Amino acid sequence: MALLYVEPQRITVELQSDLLLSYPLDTVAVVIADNAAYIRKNPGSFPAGWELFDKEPLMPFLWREKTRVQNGAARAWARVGVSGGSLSIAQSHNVSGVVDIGVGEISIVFDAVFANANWVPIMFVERASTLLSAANVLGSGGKKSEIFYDHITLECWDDTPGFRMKKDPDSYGFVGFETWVHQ
Amino acid sequence: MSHKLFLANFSDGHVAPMIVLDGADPAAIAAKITFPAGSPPRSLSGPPREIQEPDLPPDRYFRNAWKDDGPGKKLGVDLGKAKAIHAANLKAEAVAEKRKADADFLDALVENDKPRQAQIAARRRKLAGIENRPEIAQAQTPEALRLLTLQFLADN
Repeated sequence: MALLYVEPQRITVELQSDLLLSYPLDTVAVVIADNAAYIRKNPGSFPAGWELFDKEPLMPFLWREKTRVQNGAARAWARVGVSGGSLSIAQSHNVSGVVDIGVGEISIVFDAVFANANWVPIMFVERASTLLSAANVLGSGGKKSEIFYDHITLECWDDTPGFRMKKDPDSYGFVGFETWVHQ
Repeated sequence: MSHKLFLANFSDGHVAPMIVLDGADPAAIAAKITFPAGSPPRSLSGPPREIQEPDLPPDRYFRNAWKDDGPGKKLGVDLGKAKAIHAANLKAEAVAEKRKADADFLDALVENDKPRQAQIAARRRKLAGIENRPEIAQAQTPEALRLLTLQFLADN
């Protein structure tokens, strides 16, 4: 059962304990009841003029809004450890999967996707592991990422002068920001 | 949040273990895998299958040579790819060691230490082309390859 809060200038819908939607009252309103959702910009009298949505197709919209909290707050992040033969997720938010593509390469796939590929990623790698000699890991760093709206591919390169190669770090870190344009 | 481990297989034999969080669709995640520019062209060769952590090799030295030996079996190592990986790693190690040797040789020159110069020059000659040593091609197992360290090859 959803809860609906109407404040003087805003309407807030709580779909689940961790999902709050809040909009200026004069632009948009949402009503969730049982498995149905009603949404309309410039709300008039209920129910006339309101569109009825099945909850299921509305969920991607709702979940996207969940993570698009406010400008200044990260929308997705992950800390991925590399140890032994495998990867592990130490912490993550809005991530549905992490793919071990190869040495020094991972993909992080998002649960709720970004609006487009113009979002802002920040990445780092923790000190590279010493699979080779210590000299060969000097200067290691996160060198490159390929950015998509629904996932990001991170690479870690060993920058040893004269011989560059991908290397596994001890861990990858990543944070993604996206400007929230109030619809 | 709990998760499961899946394995995506590609047309060229490459494999990609995937950590899939609860509720996510492993096939959808596999479909999003992209390889960096310069990688060989690859396409998924089937739906991902669930694996367990112990199915993975204990370390990642030969990660890019991992291969799927089928359900119920641990991931194996493609020996041909493993030899290429080991050769590239030996070359990288040799580059680093030769760079250090060059600095040491300069010191020996400044100090006019002829025996030290000869010692460094000899060591440097042993490192040259070490990634092409026949022992690498002759190795029969990944474990045998790992024994062919830079130190071992340079000293023998």
